[in-house]
Amino acid sequence: MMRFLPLCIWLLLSGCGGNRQSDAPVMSIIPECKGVPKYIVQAGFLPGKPFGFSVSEKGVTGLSLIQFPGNGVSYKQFRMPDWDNAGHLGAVITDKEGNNFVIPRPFINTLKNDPAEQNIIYRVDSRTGAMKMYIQLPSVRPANDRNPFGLMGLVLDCESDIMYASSVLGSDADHETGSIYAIRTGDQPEVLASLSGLDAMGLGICYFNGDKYLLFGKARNSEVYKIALNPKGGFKGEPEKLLSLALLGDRGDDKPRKIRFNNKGEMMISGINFNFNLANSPDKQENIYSFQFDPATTQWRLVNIRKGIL
Amino acid sequence: MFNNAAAQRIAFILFTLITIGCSSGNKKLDTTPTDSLAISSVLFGQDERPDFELINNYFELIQHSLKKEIPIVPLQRALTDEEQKAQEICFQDASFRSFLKDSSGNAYRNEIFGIYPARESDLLAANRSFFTDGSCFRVEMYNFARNITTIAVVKPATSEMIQVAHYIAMQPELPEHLKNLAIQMALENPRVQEALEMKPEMKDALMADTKTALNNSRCERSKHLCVAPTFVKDNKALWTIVDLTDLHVAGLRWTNLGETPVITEVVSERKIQNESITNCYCKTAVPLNRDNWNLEYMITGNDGLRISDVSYKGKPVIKSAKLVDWHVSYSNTEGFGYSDAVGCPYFSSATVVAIDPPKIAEIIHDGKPVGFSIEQFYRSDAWPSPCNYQYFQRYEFYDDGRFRTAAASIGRGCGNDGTYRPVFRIAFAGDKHQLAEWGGDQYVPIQKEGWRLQQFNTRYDRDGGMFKLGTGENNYRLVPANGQFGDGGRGDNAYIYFTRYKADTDEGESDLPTIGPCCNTDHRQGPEKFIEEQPESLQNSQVVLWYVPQIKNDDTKGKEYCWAEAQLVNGVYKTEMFPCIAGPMFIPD
Repeated sequence: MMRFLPLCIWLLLSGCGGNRQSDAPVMSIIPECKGVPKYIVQAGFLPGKPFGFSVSEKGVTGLSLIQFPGNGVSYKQFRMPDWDNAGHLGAVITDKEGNNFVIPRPFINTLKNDPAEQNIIYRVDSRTGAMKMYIQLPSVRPANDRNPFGLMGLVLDCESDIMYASSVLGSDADHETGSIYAIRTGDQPEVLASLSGLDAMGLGICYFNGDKYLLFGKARNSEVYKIALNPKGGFKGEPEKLLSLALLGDRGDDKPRKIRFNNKGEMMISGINFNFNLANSPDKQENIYSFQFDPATTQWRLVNIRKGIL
Repeated sequence: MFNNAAAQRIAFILFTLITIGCSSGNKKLDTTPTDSLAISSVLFGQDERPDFELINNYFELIQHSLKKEIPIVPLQRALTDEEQKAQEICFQDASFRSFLKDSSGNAYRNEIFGIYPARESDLLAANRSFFTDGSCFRVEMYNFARNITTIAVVKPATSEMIQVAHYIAMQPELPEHLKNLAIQMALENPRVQEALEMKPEMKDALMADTKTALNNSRCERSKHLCVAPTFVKDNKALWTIVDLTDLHVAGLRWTNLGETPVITEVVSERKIQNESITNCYCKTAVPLNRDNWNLEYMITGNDGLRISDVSYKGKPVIKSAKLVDWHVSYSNTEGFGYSDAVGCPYFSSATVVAIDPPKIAEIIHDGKPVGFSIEQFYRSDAWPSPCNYQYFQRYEFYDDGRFRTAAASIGRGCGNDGTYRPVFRIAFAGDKHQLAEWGGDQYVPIQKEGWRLQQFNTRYDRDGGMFKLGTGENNYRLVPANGQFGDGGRGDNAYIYFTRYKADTDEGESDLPTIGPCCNTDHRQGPEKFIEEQPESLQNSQVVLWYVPQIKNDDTKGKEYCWAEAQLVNGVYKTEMFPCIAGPMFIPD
């Protein structure tokens, strides 16, 4: 498997290292590594047919496994009895073995999401489908009644198997005390490093000029930053601002909820209306902003905005 | 408010933090200092339309346009013959006119914002050939009601419409006359003048770095067309958010420019709303001394507007009162509904948030002032679209010592089969209370915690009283709403709970998270959890009252209740509101 996917048309044209602009910055992505859970056949899903995990099925709390309809395959939903134990959920990521990692996120109210329990990552075992608490992350300040949120973003570095998680637990209007954690995965998860003093939401990973960076979107404004990662997966140097979603899209103050890369190397950022409250848009009005890296200017150029859920 | 298990978890988390805080892999950023100018955010209510010649002329232009068969304000500058022709082609084109009126034929406010020579890139690939043989024009029109931009490319020489596209939620470049109008609205605004400590002139709005007086801004919640005339003073910039859809100034805020000076920060409607309400009403209680009443009020994180330490003529009356939850259930779908909390717009557990400041107003009965009220509205961004909500709370204080805690839904919710159940918590002042209920000919003491349902056979005293609470210094009777308050309310059908205040257990004195599910149709609305399993004695105790009205909505024409309808006024949407006001009156004995 290719380690890096070339980012943009420019890279393709220049042969990813042609002489003409060999000093220009090169940006490359790390392919995702989602494995297939081993229990899906037992769950009655058709092997090889498209499926996915959902945390927002209508009338359902928690995780659902969905077989997408099409070409003789009908919609199917599967849930294990304990998949609602963590209340409403936010991000879901999958490792190469097919284990899922999920984080809680309150929806409309806190009835099923105790604010003090919003810094727990849960793992859904690939073999059994059982959802269990995986790791409880620390926080600089305890949960408070003005901020119902904890974990906000998750991403897995498929090269190092290090998972990064962002949390805003304990922050309030006057104190930005959230953190990003680097977590060694496996049967004995462990926090390897943390970056505290910032409220981050969406996370992504990529390479610039051969150095690995963690990208994060701020939960308090519309900005996206990068910070270098050291070989052990920890944080190096200071965050550097990459771009802002301010004045883009129909709202103009979207916050970056999720950061992913497509196979063209475009950075896709899901932007949502977020103000640290539980106001809910019934039609999930998310914008997906696609940016392309321009090596000539070293800027990210907006190429597309569309409605949808990343 | 957390239970013991939660406290243990927090202790564990903090311990873990200390442990990992010692390892070398951790890094702490200098926390971004709070923007000291956030406190300069000032939010304006819906003032009267400003009154000066430019705006009055523009308003007349709009009125005139709305009466025309083709309700479009033409481009407000001198046009060349070709530009005139380009505009006329658009006016006659059915596709261009797709969004001029609603389905009932009422005109939207539409205006041509620009006519420009078309660039080749303006044309679709299939239409590029038009570009090579003669000049084409790009015509941009904005629909203020629907927030839609229509862009056409036309060829005057051949009278051809080449292409038309409509862009929802997109706003075109402003025409010069609207830029001038926005700046003039800022210049004329007394609060802008006050902030700048002078009456600014047009030249004061010119920013050196951008060579323009206008910054881009947004009205994210109202989705109106907004811009920000900005005035530089020393090393700061005063942003004035001007709403060109409603033609009013929405708010103000200063930003730092730094040494350069350049604009690095965007000020918008939502930013001003969040900051202004958070700083002024969500952090500390605001004292109010009016008529014979003394009290404090503040907007909570998720219990609405709370009043506290209320006294009348120097005698303590209420310790605190607030609105804990709104439970909304829909009868056509079993178990479908929501538990909404109302409160602050930024850092809160509120589902429906305050976006206007509290309003204090005189209460007039029969043309005479009889007291005052404090009102607070909470609104979903897309209200009155389906499944979006607006609620309001009102406290009334009368000169004769009566007071009322009231609330209303203003729809529109997810259907016309909704029942709204707001949960009020009212704690009276004093340490020892005596609670009694009307027994038909006298008040009968209540000995233990419990609840009652106000229903068709409930007995009331001659003033409509159902309960009497003695606080030592005052006696108050609780009068449930039965449609007698002259505010359109049709009666509460309320569950009324009485619980014992416990100093060592927080049963709602601090901010309460959602205490009940959406869809219970019986007494299980949340307060019962402070009563069951073993109701405690109320003897020699402080009593806390919980009041949960049950209000069914109605969308029947002429009988609307807990409902809202959008309607066109001057070509833009305004909302007609049909609140269902509920809540008890307390009258002194």
